[in-house]
Order: sequence, then C-alpha cells, then structure tokens
Amino acid sequence: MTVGLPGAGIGGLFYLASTILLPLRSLVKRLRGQQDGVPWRDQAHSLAIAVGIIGALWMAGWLLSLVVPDESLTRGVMPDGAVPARSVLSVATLAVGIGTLLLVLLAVEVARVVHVWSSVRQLDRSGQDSL
Amino acid sequence: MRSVPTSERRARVVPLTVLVPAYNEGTSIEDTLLSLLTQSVAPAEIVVIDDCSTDDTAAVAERLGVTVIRPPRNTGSKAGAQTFALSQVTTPYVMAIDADTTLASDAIERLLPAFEDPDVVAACGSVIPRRVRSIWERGRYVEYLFAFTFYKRVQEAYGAPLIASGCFSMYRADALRSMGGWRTRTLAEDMDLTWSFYEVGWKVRFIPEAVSYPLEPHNWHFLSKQLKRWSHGFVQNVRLHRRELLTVSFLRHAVAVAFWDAVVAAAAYLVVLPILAFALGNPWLLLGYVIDLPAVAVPVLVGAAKRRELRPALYSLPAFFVLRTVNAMFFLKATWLELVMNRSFNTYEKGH
Repeated sequence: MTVGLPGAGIGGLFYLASTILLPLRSLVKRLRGQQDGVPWRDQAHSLAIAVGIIGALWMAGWLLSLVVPDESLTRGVMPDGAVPARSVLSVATLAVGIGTLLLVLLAVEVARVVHVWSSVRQLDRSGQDSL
Repeated sequence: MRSVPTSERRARVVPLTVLVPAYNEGTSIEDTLLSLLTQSVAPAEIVVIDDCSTDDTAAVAERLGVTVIRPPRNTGSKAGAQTFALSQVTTPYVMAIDADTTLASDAIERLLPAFEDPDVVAACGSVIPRRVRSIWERGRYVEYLFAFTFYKRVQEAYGAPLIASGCFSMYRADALRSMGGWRTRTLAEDMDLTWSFYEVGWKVRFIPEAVSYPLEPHNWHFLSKQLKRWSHGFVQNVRLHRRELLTVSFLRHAVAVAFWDAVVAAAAYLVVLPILAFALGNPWLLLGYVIDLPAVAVPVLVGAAKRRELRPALYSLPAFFVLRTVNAMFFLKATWLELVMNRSFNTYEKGH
C-alpha cells in the first residue's frame, strides 16, 4: 500500500530531507558512542537517489524555461511585467512546501508533548486515587 | 499440472510455517505453492487455509502435498483465515503470503537473518507486480519501484518501515500471538499489526533483496475494491493508533506526512489545481499534475535498471500518474466517509 501522493506533496520533501539528514544522524550517533545500524552503502544509495531527484527537478525546470514562455506560466498568477517571475514562482513553491512540512512536523511534536503530559497527569491521578 | 523438482526438496529445513489464506484461488495458488516448495531453504510446514472455497483450491493444494485446513465457516477476511491457522503453528517463525503471490527462490532465506536481532518481530521484502500489462498494473509497477527503491529504504534506515506488507511478511510467532494474531478491527490488518509492534517497542525490518511477485488488479473492478480497502484501512488505522503512534519516532512524522498528502494535498491536486487553471485561464498550471515526473523517474529507473527492466519502466511511467490521481480520489473519499461522515467501511472485498 502506498499512501498519499507518491512523489508529490510534502511526502516527497520529507523523504528527501530524511535522506539528506541520514549521514548527519549516523555521525551524531557515532559521536555519542551509539551503534548505527545503517550500512554506509545503503546511505550512499539513498543519498545518490536524493541528489538525482534534485538534479532532475532542476533540469526539468531549466528545460521548462526553454519551452514555456514566462508570460504563459504566470498569466493570471502574477501582475504583468513582474520579473523575475519564474524564480519567484519556484522559490515561492519550494517555500510553501517546506513551510507546510515544517508546520506538520511541528504539529506532531506538539501533539506528542501534550500526549506525554496528559499521560503523566493521568498516572499521577491514578496514583493518588490508589492512596 | 507441474511437479516439484526433487532436488529442491533436499533444501535445508528452517523452523518456519508458511500460511497461505485462500478463497477461490484455484487458478493462482499452484504458482504460489510451487514457489514456496522450490525455495532455497524449505519451510517446516506450508499450510493452506481453504476459507470454504467453492472451487478446486483445496484439491490443487493437496495435490502438491501441503497441509490444508478448513475453518468451520468462511472467516470473511484474510486476517480471519490467518488467525484461525495461527493456533496450529508450532514453529518459532510464521510467514503469511497471499495465494496469488509468488516469491523469488531465495526470498525466505534472505528474510530469516533479520530475526537474529531478538527485538525484531517482523520482516518484509520488496514487492513487484508479476504481470505488467494493463494501465493499472503498469501504474502499480511504477508505484512499487518508486516506493521500494526510495521511500521504504529511508523508512528502514530510520528503523520504521511504514508497513510489513500483508502479501509477504515473516513474523516471530510468539509476538504475533501476543497481539492476538491478525486483527480484523481495520481493513488493513498488516498496517494495524506493524504499528502495534512499534508501539510496544519491537522492531520491524525491510529487506529489499527478498522479493515477492503478487498479481495486482488488472481492471477497474478489482482495483476499486483494493483501493477502497486500502484507503479505508489507512484512515481506520490512523484513527485507531493516533495516540500511541506519537511515541514512535520517525513513524509519527511519516504517518502525519502521509495523512496530510492523502487529504490536503489530494484535495489540492484534485480540486484546487483544475479550478485555478480554469479561473485564471491558464492551462499551463495543469503541468502541476506531472511536474514531479523527474522526481518519480529517478528512483523508478534506478530500481528498474537493477532488475534490467528499463524499457517496461519507461513505458509504464505515464500510467503511474493516472493511478496516482485515482489513488488520491479514493483516499480523499475514505477520509471524508470515515472521519467526517463517521461511516466506517468494514466489508472485506478481495481485489487481489
């Protein structure tokens, strides 16, 4: 089962970021003296795919700029004569994606803290009741 | 009727029972059983759970010399049939495989070492559609190449594969029993089980080299049944596990991101994009449907190149975007029905 929109959505960004962070995570684990169970070959494999994806997306954007005129792409989206429209659009798209991803991840962390806090409170209450 | 090569029967026997739930699988179960009987290591027992089939499923299985058991009445689901058989398992390891799935000859041998870690209670492998003909099979082929070459490997690196696929996974029998077997409280029993394992601190592994080949839906009839089951199953599991999942690192983020994409991104994809293109009179915005083609193509072609299947992968790429759109529709509808309308769908309908 594949959930969501594989490739698109914030899922794509999430897995790209997770891949790029893998070597850093391994390094931190080793510095802390913990065992890192992820072989370097597996990390390199995923990292190579992530770099390939980023490169392919950049190339697709470049090719698109050759085929589709700026005015066509931004018609109705931006005021006429707004330059550099394409770079603004791509930066805005990326920023919205990353911002959304960070918000979702932050919401999960907030939910986790609330969950832990309410579990502790519940334990305290049950402890007081048993006394 | 094909026979089992006698040389393969001498393979090293491993303490594993393979469960094959089957309901009217007379046409496909022979291939499944032959692939089990010709593994590089031999399971101690292969049990077909004939879930009161009305065809020759049991006869085909008996002819191949495997154990056939039959519940007193149809259990109503794959999970029910597998759990019925679990009480009869005496080996420390148990594997479940769909009756329309075959395995690479070394699949079991490659999965077993995952259990050398005592905390590992489940292991799954890669899934590649056996037939790649119709648009739906082609779309699924690309989807699986993408997922098993990229997403699933990242999940494994972070110690949290999202799901040990129901069509081919191996388990520690004791751990499985302690969970009550495969539970029928959601339509995605494999996801329910995987997440339950994480929540009690156990590990699940993904071994990409262990490969299985299921038959995927070849037409709309079967595809819609499968997607309905999967989409409702996912939403049911998110609702069921929403609190406990928060304690599992990485998985909590992966599930949240998947849920966001299944709901908000799917709505944007299906509704907002075409409305914007129409309202602004700018058809170029519809490029948004395929703008990520390069992002999809890279892992797919890497996975296909390893299998020497570049040509079918390239031909199949367009089908993926059709399937993804259909996928988004089903997940959006399931979320609406389950969470907004509170109309839970609980009927197990097989769609391969």
